[in-house]
Amino acid sequence: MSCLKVKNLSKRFGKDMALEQVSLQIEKDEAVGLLGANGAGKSTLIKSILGLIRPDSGTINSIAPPAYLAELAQLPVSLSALDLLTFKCRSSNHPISAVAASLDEFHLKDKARRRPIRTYSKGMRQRTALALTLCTQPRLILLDEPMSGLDALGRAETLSILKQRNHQGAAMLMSSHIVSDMVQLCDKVLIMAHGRICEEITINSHSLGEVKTLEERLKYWTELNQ
Amino acid sequence: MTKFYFLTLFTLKEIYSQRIYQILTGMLIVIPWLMLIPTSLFMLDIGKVFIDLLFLCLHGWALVYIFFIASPLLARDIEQGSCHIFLTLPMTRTQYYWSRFAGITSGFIPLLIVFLASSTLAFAFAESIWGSYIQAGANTSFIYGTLLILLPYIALTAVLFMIASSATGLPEITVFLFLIWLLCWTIPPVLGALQETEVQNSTPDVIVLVIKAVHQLLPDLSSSEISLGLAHNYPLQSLQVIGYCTHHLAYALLAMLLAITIFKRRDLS
Repeated sequence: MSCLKVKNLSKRFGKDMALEQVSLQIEKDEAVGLLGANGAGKSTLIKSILGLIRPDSGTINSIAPPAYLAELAQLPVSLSALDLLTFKCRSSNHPISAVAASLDEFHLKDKARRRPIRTYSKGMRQRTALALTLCTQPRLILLDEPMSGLDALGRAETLSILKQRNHQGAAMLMSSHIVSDMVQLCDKVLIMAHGRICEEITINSHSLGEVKTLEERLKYWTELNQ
Repeated sequence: MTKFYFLTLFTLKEIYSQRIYQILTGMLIVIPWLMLIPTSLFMLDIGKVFIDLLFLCLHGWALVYIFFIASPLLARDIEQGSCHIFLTLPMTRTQYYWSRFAGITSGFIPLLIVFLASSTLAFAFAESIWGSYIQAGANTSFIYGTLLILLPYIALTAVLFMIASSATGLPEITVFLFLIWLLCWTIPPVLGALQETEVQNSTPDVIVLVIKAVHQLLPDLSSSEISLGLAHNYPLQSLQVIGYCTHHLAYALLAMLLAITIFKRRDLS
């Protein structure tokens, strides 16, 4: 069953073609990676799916409203993580008990979760953003550079939570520059360059060899399109 | 409706938790009392002077609220992408804009309550000192005037939303809002001067037309006739008050509708 179906999506910013006839499909339980250099169109694609950017042409169909985690998400800093998650659960008609569970899952301790976000470290802010994205148990998750600003430990933790959510049935579309993260999490990776999906690579063994292959293919397509 | 309600509450909570809002609330307790000092320098019409000074404060704090609390909140939403949190709930852009507007406008209420309470006490104190120098019913006129003078600031808040709907960040919003505020205050005196035949004759018709057109497009912030009438304890015509309220509320509504139309068409990258 398709969780997300994108067909012939195009978007132009002035003279620049940000997306050109992009099509993709994500099944239930599937984690798809978007790999590409800066300006390849990864964020534009994700934002178009979310409706934040209006595509010029193409269709987008999803079974459920997608949850979104932005790159270096800017949270309202005068409020606490507890306020934010409570707001999200209430406005999404989700049980309020999910707030504490989600904050516990992301190790935001009782005192910290009540403090204003401006007092949080970068890692804590990113964990709050992740908790905010995942607290309503979304069936489709769009992640734009979710590891930005996280240290090695934070990255490993986040990856493990995302894998767990994926195993529980959530479909994912993740853009990243970090090839090793893609290989660990994704079932397939789409390489993007100049607004086009150039190649689809299936990840089988989640091994170091696949990291190298992806890096080579990314380099090839980026250089070819320059 | 649930989302509208919760985002309005969330906006209010965001506003209350800001230090500048708390400082402003604290200052509004003190300011009416401080206004007694310049009032005491006058010999006659003490009540009128006090009301005038309090109205001046009202214009001041309403402006501080819009420029330093409402503008940054809205600019952060758009510039740094915080609005993505709300729009991906999911929530329509119309719902998001109305909720934010309702929240920001409601932010005036606690400030208004504090200001009115403190001013009423200051009035009572002034009456106990200056007694007959203060006209009877001056405090009631002041409360009535405060509510009426605040209405154009709701229209200015809607103008803020209109600017934000196509602006890229805080500097742009601040500059354009400041320009509009400046025009709102400077055009009425210019129009007043144009009533004189000598000025009328020496001004080209095109310029007069442009000034009049701009005046029609902007909210009237000065509320001059209302403030003057209330300060002098003149009875206000109910038709004048109804017209005044309808004008500002309709202005706010139209500005918001235009803002939403523009906002719905923009890319939030």
